[in-house]
Amino acid sequence: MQQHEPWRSAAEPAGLGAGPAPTTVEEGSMERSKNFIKALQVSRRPVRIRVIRQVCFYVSVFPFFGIDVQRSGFPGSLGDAVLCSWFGWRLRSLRVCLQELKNLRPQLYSASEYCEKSYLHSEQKQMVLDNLKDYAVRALVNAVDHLGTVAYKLTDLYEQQASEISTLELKVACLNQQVLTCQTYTDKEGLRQQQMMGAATRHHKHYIIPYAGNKRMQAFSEMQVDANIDVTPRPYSSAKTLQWHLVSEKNSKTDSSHQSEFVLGETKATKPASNTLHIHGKESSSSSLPNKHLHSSKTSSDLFSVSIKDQPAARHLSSFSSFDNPRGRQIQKAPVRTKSMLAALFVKHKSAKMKNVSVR
Amino acid sequence: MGRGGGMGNPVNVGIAVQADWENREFISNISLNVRRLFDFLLRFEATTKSKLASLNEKLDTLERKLQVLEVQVSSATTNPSVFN
Repeated sequence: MQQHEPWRSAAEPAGLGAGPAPTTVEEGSMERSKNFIKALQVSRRPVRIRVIRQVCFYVSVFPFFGIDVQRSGFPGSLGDAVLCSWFGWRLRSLRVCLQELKNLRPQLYSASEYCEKSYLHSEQKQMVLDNLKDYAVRALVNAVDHLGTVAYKLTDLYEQQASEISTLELKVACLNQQVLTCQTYTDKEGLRQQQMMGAATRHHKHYIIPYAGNKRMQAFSEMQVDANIDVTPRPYSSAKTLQWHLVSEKNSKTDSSHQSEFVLGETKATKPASNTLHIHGKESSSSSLPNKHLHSSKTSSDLFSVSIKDQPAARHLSSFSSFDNPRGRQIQKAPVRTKSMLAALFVKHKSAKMKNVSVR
Repeated sequence: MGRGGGMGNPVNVGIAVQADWENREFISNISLNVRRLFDFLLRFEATTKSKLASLNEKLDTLERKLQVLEVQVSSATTNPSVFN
C-alpha cells in the first residue's frame, strides 16, 4: 500500500499538522486541497477535489458567476430586510452556491499542480494517472452538479420575481381602472350640470314672457332709460336670452308704431265718447265677463289711458298696439296665444282695476 | 533469447499504444463533456439575460404607471371640490 501510494508520506505531515477549523473562504479552499491530497492517498472518500487545468479554464471563462445576485437598487436597510425574508433566504442560498462554485477554481488549479509534480517525481506513474482520471471525472461531475444547482436556484428566483411582478401589474391595472372610473364620473357629472343649466334658460322664456310680458316690457323700458344696456340682439346660438327677445319685440314694435297710431285713431273715431282703448271693444266682445266688471274696467281704463299719456307715447303706443292688434306682434319663435294671453291680461287687468276701485 | 526479447518489445509497444489510445479517448470524452457544459452555460447566460431584460422592462413600465397614478391621486386629493 505504501508503494502504491508513495505520496502519503508527503501528505501526512500536512494532515497531521492540520490546525483549527477554517473560518474564511480561503482557508476553506486550502483545507479542501489538503483533503484532495488525502483523497489521492485514500481514493474512497467522496470529497471536492481539483481536476485538470482545462476544467479550471472553462469555469473561469464564465463571467456570469461573478455577477452579484442582489439588485443594485436595494438600499442598506432594505437589503437587510430583504435578506431576512423568504426571498432573502433563497438569495442567500444562491449566493452560497455561487461562492462554492467560485471556490472550485483554486481547488482545481492546486490539484492540477499537485498531479503534475507527483507524476514527474513519483515512480509509479500509472497509478498517478489512474487516480488522476478518477479525480477528473469526479471533479467534472461535481462542477456540473454545482452549475445545475446555481442554474436551478437562479431560475427559481427569477420565476418568483416574475410572478410577483405580474401580480403588481394586475394591481396597478386595477388602480388605473379605478382612477379612470372616477375621472369618467366627474366628467359626466360636469356635463350634466352644464346641460341642466342650458335647459333651464331655454324653458324660462317660454313659460314666463307671455304671462308677464306687459310688466316685463315696462321694466325693460325703465331699464333702458336708466342703464346703458346693449340693446342690439346678441347672436347667441344655443340659448337666446330674455333680453334678446325683448329687444327683438321692441324693434318689431317700433317698426309698427305707425300702425299703432292708425289703430288708435280708428278706435278714437269709433268711440268718440272716451279716450278708451280698443281693449274696451274687446271687453265688450268677451261674453264671459260680468257687466259690473265692464263698467269698472271702463273707468279704470280711463285712468289707465290718462296715466299712460304722461309717459312717452311711442313706447306705450307700441305696447297698446300689441294689445289692440295681437297679429301685429312680432314675436319670434313664440307660440300664438292671443286669446289666452288676452284673457290672462284681462284677468290681471281686472284685478288691478278692482284694487283701484276698492282704494277709491 | 534475442527473439524472445524482440518478441516482447512489439507486445510492450502494442500495449503502450493501446494505453495511449485509451488515454486519448478518455481525454476527448472529458473535453467533449466540458464543451457541452460550456455550451449549456452560454445558452443559460443568454436566456437569463433576455429574461432579466424583459423583467427590467416590465419594472420600468410599472414604475412609470405608478408615477402617473401618484400624480392623478395627488391632484384628486388637492382638489376635493371636484367630487362634491
